Amino acid sequence: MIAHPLRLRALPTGQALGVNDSGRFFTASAEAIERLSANVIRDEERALLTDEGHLLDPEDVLGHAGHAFSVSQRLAPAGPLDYLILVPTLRCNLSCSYCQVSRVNADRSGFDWSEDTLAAVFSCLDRLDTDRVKIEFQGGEPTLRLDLITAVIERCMRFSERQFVICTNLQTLSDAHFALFDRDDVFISTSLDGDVATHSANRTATVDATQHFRANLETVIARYGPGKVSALPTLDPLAPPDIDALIDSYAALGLDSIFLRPINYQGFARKRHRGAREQDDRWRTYYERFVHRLIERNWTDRAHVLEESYLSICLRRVFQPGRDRHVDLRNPNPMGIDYIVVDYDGTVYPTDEARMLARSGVVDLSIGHIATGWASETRDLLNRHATNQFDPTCIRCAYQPYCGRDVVDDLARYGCIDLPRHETEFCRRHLHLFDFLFSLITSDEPAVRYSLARWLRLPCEALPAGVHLS
Amino acid sequence: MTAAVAVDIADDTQSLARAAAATAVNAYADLAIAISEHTIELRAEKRSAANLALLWQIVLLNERFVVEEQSFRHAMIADLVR
Repeated sequence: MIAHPLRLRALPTGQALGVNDSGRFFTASAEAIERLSANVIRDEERALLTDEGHLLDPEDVLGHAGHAFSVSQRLAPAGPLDYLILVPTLRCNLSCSYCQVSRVNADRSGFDWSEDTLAAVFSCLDRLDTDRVKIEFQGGEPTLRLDLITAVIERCMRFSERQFVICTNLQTLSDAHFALFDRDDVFISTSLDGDVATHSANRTATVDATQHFRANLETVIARYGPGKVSALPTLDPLAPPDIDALIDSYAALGLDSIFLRPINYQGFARKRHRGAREQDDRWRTYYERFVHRLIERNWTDRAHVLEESYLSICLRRVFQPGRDRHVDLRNPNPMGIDYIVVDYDGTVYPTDEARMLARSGVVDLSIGHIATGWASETRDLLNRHATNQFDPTCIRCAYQPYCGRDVVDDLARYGCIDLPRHETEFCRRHLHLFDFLFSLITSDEPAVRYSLARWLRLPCEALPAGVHLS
Repeated sequence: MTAAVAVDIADDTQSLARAAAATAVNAYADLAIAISEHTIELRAEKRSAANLALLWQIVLLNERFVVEEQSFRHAMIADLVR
């Protein structure tokens, strides 16, 4: 009895892709699929598929254990809590059209952490059973409360590994900002929507304010180098910017990673950008053109390697099992275990999107409070559905080992989590992404294989060819 | 008398469970067919007749692997999470 722990998918090239449960894959011609269907594959094909773990004899104890180990590498373990998104204030000095968290004006009171909340955050940090911690300060605009950020950082000195990311709109820079940014363990994350006109229209409302932001961004990059600063655009999928203009605006600053992120269907965006609920073929075509342009530019100018951040995350999930800390794409996707979000009032959410849903009045997915704990019934209920392992659509999908599960995204878009998976935007988006990715992985183009190797951080010049049944 | 009622209830419960299981199996099979048809529908556009035939063959072979290996997969995942 030979097991075939395989899923198949037709590729646009006329080949089939076979992926086993541990994510190892091969491509096959139409003729090879014919032979596989009729159970008449050649001896050398059988040997190759067995060696690669696509055919498995359950009586082969070592082979079975090896397969089980490989599958286990695809199951994200939830370690101890070591990643916190902290929102010390909901106040902001900008009012972006697609603000996801329904921020409040900078002069409002009652939207910052209280003394009690800060004390509860300290107590939480003191109890963390880990040597490393990552804290992301979100808002609002968190730098409106540099004192709170500094206090949290000082409280974390006991951790041997620590990283603090301050998500800021960089509209303001002062000596106090620099004092904080000068620290080696502090990183800056900001938003850059493209050229001045696009950024002004989306975020700052005026060209002057955008130029002020650009000057501040250039200042921090000049002072710290691009390794300390990351930026990402939010794009209107119905009117995306010119591809080269967007790439140029990043490349000119020395920023190599561009996260091509359409407006998130949250917060103000639900009213002002209704088209953001689903992405259509126009967006997907734009996305593919964008990536192909990056590949061309990487091939032409080998000194700089540009990447689309999310595609690189997906690519690494194909080739490097265990890449599970990108919490928007992992499986299972346990919530409120290894990372949490603490809002301005101390409420704990499982994800930042859950916080946005509550702020928008859609559904309250809070799982507790920083002072009293979050091991709640709501958390357990969410976690009962936080896997793609047994979903009837996912178990038929070749991309299941690489893909994830995002219950909160389903709730945000559809108000329920029991839609057939293939009818959700999450599934459509990832099917497209992995189809596109495998069209690149199976490409013979040297330029494509060069970029893939760079995005995987491989020491070789080009991604090696994979297994193919002709 | 009490024992007879208990047996009746047990029988009813078992038959209900059997009916529910049968319905679930039917629903699952219906869903599997719907997913396969949906896959074809989504991906049939711009394909030649030969390519469409290949697409069907891949979808059906995939379905065979999924159904045949279901208990193997469940047992393995159960082992891993235990």
